[in-house]
Amino acid sequence: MPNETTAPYTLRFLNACRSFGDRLALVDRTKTYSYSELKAIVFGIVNLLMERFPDETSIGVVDQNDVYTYASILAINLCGKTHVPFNIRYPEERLVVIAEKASVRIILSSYAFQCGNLQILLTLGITRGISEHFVPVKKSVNPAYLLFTSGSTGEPKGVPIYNHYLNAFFDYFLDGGVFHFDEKDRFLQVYETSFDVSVFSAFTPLLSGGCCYLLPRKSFAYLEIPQILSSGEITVLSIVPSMLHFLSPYFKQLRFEKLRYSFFSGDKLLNSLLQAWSTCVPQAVLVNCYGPTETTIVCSHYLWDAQKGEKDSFEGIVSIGKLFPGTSYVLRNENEIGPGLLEGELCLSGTQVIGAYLNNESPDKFIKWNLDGKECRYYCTGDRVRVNAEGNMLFLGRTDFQIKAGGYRVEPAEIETALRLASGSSFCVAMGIDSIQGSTQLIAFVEGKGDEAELIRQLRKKLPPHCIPSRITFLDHLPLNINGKVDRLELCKFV
Amino acid sequence: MILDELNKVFCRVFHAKDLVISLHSDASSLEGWDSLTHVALVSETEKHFKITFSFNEMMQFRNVGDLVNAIEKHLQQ
Repeated sequence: MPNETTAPYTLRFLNACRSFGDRLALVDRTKTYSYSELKAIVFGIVNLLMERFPDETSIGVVDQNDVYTYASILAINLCGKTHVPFNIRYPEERLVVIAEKASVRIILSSYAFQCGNLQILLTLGITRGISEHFVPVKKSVNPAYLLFTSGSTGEPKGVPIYNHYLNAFFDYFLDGGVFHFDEKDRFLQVYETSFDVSVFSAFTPLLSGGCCYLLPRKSFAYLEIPQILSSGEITVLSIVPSMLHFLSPYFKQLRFEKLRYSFFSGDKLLNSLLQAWSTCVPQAVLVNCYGPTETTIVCSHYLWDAQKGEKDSFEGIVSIGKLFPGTSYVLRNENEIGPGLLEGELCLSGTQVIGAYLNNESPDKFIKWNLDGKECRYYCTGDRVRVNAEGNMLFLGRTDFQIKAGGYRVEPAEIETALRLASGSSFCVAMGIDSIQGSTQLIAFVEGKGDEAELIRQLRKKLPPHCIPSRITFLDHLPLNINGKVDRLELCKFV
Repeated sequence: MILDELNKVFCRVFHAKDLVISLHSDASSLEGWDSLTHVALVSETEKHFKITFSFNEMMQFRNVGDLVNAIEKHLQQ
């Protein structure tokens, strides 16, 4: 555990409550909450936690996509505890593993929920808290939140994000002079809380007096985005490129004049797609961001425009720009490493970068490098980049088989482990195939015979939705290369 | 018949060769029918029947019956 301590990142929320008490803070479908009303719910949950569970450090919150979800996150952070998101679409088996790894014994939820033997505290209806008796912690040794990403060992891996990483992140976005948000801004929050960009969409407004609109989670949630944008309410949008890709056939019918910022992150962004989208949002600043979960949401950005966008792209993929101040990089190749290389694996260090995974898993993902005479720890992202003459980074590809599907990180090994268990076959391969529009589809191959639908049903009991292959192909024998390993290139011919 | 032809489209998109849909089939009865599948379904339907839906039309489809009605309307034009 690192020795850093720092103030909860949500202290800014209390400042916003003081300045903007009557302004709208959160819109949950048709229900609206002012800062004062939201604060009352937050302090109600604070009271619950401090009176009944003062010694619990990690608290789960079920993402019910409502005011109680976000009030719970705020309350947990103000108490100096760690938020652990619980996604209702994940199989219970996976949630039990997460709870065990994160030492979670208590889960907050606005509605009934089951997760093993964990205690569920219902938050629906909490409306009052006595804030004058509560003093938020000034410093917290605990992570602000703990997210779990797909792990190559077959089990999810915990990423602890501390308050000082988040304070650095919000210092840049709110006070860095690059972006200009204020209390009139209205952010659309489209992500599940298990996806870290949700922290940007939900808390950038809540820490600055703006308003967070929650995207209703109906069956066709993403299709609601244009409807909500059309209402003119939203001024800031953050989505993953695949959401844009799926709206692309309808761009000519879409126009959103009130949008001020359109952010992208989570996956490769095609310049042609962004070019087409720019005509739908003529007033918006278009920003492509990059950052693994380990670097606290995002750690670099590129301000796109039509003239330089294409020049700064590589094979049609928009640049990921330059790192935020406070983050530095070295590039690594087989035989060399350093900040002066023009191309290599991106390794990051700085104010937003973790020093270790939970329980020190995967220590091989970290290296040490001397920066200005000081030894620093760098996180090796697995992303290969090239730095162009303007200092903008261009994404070249991965050094491993990790896939991004709809913005979610997917380790094929995690799917392959589950496939082997479910199918009984020793040879299983999961891979991503790219479409011409830049989105990635997850597919799998299994040696032997089987029933695709039944196998997918079995996978759904263990894996989160974004790790489920869209297609499983059974082959008598998986092709092997000269080293006796599965030949993934040869497998592409079966696609 | 439109429903039979649409069934072939659903089998392709859902990768389930034995899938049988009805006019009442919707996202709650067909596992995996979400926003992204929906757009893929609409796109494959357009290709299969050689028609083009507007964005507003696509937004209105909530079950197979809605799709069948819209296809009928387009084919009559």
